[in-house]
Amino acid sequence: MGPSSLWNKCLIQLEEELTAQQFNTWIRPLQAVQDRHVLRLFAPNRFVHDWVKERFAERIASLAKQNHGEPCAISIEVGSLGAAAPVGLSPSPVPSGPASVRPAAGGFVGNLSPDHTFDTHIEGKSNQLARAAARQVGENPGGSYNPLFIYGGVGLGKTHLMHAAGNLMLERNPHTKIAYVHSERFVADMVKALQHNAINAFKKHYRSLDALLIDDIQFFSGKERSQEEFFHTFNALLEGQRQLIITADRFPKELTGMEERLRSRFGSGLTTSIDPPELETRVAILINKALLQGVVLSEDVAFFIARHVQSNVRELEGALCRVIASASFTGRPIDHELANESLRDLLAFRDRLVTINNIQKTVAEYYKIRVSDLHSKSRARQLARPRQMAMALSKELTSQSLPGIGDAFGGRDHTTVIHACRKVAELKTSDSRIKEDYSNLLRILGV
Amino acid sequence: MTGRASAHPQLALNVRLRDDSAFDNFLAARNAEAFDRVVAFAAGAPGPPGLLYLWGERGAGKTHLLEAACRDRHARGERCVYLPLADAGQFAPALLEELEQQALVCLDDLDAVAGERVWEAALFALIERAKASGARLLVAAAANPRHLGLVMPELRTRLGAGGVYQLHALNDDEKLSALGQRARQRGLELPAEVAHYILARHARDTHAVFALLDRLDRAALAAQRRLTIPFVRGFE
Repeated sequence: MGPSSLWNKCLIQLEEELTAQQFNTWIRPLQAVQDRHVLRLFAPNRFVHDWVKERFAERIASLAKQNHGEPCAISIEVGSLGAAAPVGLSPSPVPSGPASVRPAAGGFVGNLSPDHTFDTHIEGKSNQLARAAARQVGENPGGSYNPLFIYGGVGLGKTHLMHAAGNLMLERNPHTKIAYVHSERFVADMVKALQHNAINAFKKHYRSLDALLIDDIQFFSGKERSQEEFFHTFNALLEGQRQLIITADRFPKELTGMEERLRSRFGSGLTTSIDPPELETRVAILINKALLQGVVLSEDVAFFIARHVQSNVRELEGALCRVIASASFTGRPIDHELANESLRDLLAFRDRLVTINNIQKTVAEYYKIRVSDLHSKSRARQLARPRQMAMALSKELTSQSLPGIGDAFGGRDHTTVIHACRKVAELKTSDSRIKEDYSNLLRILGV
Repeated sequence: MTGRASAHPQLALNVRLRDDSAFDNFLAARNAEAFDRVVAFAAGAPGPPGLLYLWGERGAGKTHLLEAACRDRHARGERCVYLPLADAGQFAPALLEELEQQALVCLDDLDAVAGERVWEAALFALIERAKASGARLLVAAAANPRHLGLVMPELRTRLGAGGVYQLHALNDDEKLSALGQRARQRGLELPAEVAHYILARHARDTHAVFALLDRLDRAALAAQRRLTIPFVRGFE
């Protein structure tokens, strides 16, 4: 029996026995391979490993034994079979380890994004200086702008400029060893290198670079060991006249939880900021990004989107992505109406929580009666009609059961609620005042 | 009616048809566009971005779509995981480590950890790692990224960088269709008047309605009875 067929049989039974949530959370992410009479399972991380071992291992072992037809043990390990190894053919599990220090199969892998170049970057007043500095660094790495420290709010294009400088260096000298790393990844890789006794390989990797681009340095805050390691890497690179580009969400001196010696080193080259893009730049970004996706966006619609999404480029791109997807799905042209509908999901507040109490209060105010009138037994028309209206709105806008709605209106039966809903539906088509009242109430209730 | 309820109800054996969340048992209704995007996203359709964000009220179908996406990707022989963050109290952020090696990571109830810096930092890190590894993240929450109450603006903008779709709950007619569809999938005969009766007499959010159908199915099986209004009334 092939390894995948044994595990597949176990999977079918486990899916039957466990809840969908248990199966999706703990069983699906496992990988399996069979070594003779041992079914080896690989969990993506220690947490999943421990959880599975504690709660499901016994059952999996019993299913494996039952399906194998002869004694079969299971082992659960942290790691993966590797994307290239098909299950069962070449079982060569690798323990999870630091991504950046793994030797790359086809040479040096520096995580540079080829899409982020100066050509795809839109210049505006808000990023002019930072762009010029990044270009200068890309053309003359290791020169006077070292380190280049770019700071600014989230989603303004710091990472884009960093990659663009790296790509320019690579274009001018394809042998340049450049690595882009997010600070969080640097910290995580260092922790793993320490765990796996590979800290020397880690140091060697970073110190052998021609350029290091490190993003969101504020993530080093409070992480003393990482700061210490980075400090030495930083010095080694700088002494060798290798280029460093650093980004952060604030000015170096304002980085809290960071050693003073690092903060002053960060500011020793060129420090430049990026501000939120002004309207015209946002419009240019939208038109340009749309073109990259083969879509011609009219200036009019671009202005409309740019006016609504002001704070950062990342959300601007998210909005554009949604608008283009909507147009493609509906086959409609990209106009104001489509843009407006698409932006609603990105910008709208969560659905206002509409409760029966809230509806009763709103309806009572609207018709200038008291909430207690809605609960009363009175059948007078000036009270019965608002009551029916409030019941119909409660059915429409809440998930309350009809008996529940009846209870909330002075202990009425659910058939009274059904009658009220029918009555209001009928009046909405025959009486324009009722129709108007209904839509006014919906508006007041914020739906 | 095929028989009478005995004094000692028979134990319902686990012979019901499975009706776990899948794409083919999702009633899209007003959510057709979001549904289309999720199906393509889960299938690994080419093109950025690597994160798709769904939000909406309880019962709008978020969990259904996330579970269905996970099931679909797994059926293609790829690794995926579904994480219910509403249970984050039982977990630790270490749960998110190395998940970028999965083809698809479905994160449900993100609002449950919004405002908790350690979880937000771990989510942020996962998004960054997923970007590098090419893993896709399908995220669901009660509100859109701007109104989740996140403390990390870096996380907020990243969540909003892919498509953001609001899912809308079904209206009563659609709930009736969904109930009928769910019953058929279970091999259960649910007359229209019984479905109307259920919606008229019980909570009308889809979670509650499907949970009730599940209990009714078990009870009907144990009692060897069909689903009729008297049976449902007797069950209350």
